[in-house]
Amino acid sequence: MNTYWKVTQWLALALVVGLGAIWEFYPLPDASPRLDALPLSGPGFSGYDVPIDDLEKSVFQDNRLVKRVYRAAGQSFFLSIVDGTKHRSAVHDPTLCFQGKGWSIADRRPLPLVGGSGEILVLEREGETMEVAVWFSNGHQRYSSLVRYWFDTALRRLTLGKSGREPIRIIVQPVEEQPINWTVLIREFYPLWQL
Amino acid sequence: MRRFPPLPQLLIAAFAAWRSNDLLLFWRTAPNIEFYGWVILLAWLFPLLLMRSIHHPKDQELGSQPVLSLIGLALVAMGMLGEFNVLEQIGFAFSIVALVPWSNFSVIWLLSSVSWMPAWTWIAGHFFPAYSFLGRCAIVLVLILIYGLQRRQTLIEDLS
Repeated sequence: MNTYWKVTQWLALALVVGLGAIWEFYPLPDASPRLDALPLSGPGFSGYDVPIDDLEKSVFQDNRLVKRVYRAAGQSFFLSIVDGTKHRSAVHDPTLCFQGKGWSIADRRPLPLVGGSGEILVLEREGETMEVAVWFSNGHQRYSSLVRYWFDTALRRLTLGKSGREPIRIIVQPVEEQPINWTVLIREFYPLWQL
Repeated sequence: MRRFPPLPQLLIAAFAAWRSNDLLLFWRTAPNIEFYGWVILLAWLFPLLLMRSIHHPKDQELGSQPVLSLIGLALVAMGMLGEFNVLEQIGFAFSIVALVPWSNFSVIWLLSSVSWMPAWTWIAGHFFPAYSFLGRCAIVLVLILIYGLQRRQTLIEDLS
């Protein structure tokens, strides 16, 4: 390989390593204000935190993960929120989590939300059926597209946070065997609109 | 005889490998048989080990691909800045293929790199989730077969 290419490669490598160091140490604002403001209890609802296990700590690394069980509008549900600011790649397609636990995706349908829409996944496993709701939210816009999440978060990192707030991943699933009435839950459990 | 690629290219490949270290987490936390994804990566690297270690008269001036290496570095940079692991992994694949001379096999080798990427799980999950790992094995086995056939053809041509 001639000298020109060697010099070019050395310069390119130095530039990339330097940029990487800058990006690594630049503090990107995360979604902590929204997550910290999520109440444990309030008018018409109450909840409790669920401990994060070692596997989840390993998967999500230093990302902020909130796991709670709430009771609202006569229904109990499990709420899982991940803020991928510190390690976006750890926030993966939620369908992979369920498929890894033996569930198959039987159906999908949109879930109308303020500021957009989420997605209801109809899951099946050994004769059992469960509906879970999944969406991403930056506090104003809500959507279910993983590709859009990747785009928004990549743009946010490329612009060092100037493009907007970090989208967080929200999963709601039933605790009891009875399916969730999504219309009632969306209407009655107002903390969802603070996220 | 030159056995090792130029140092900057080796360093680019090493940097790309380091940036792809999320693969370790993926394999460690992957359910069931996906845990053995690291075996697929080792199998995919097999042609590199053979091309760079087997003595052959025509390989005495075994070159490399600086342009491909720079493309790989650019992909790693984009993936690093946008936190897009898949770009970093594709960049890693480019930087590895860049360590040997370009040939028709290089295209197949590059395309087959999807066999060790977590992105394959996402692709397979939409079409054939139960056969994701089998798909990985099939891709890398076809790669090794094609490499073996190409190598055999080259040896026959040299001997004749």
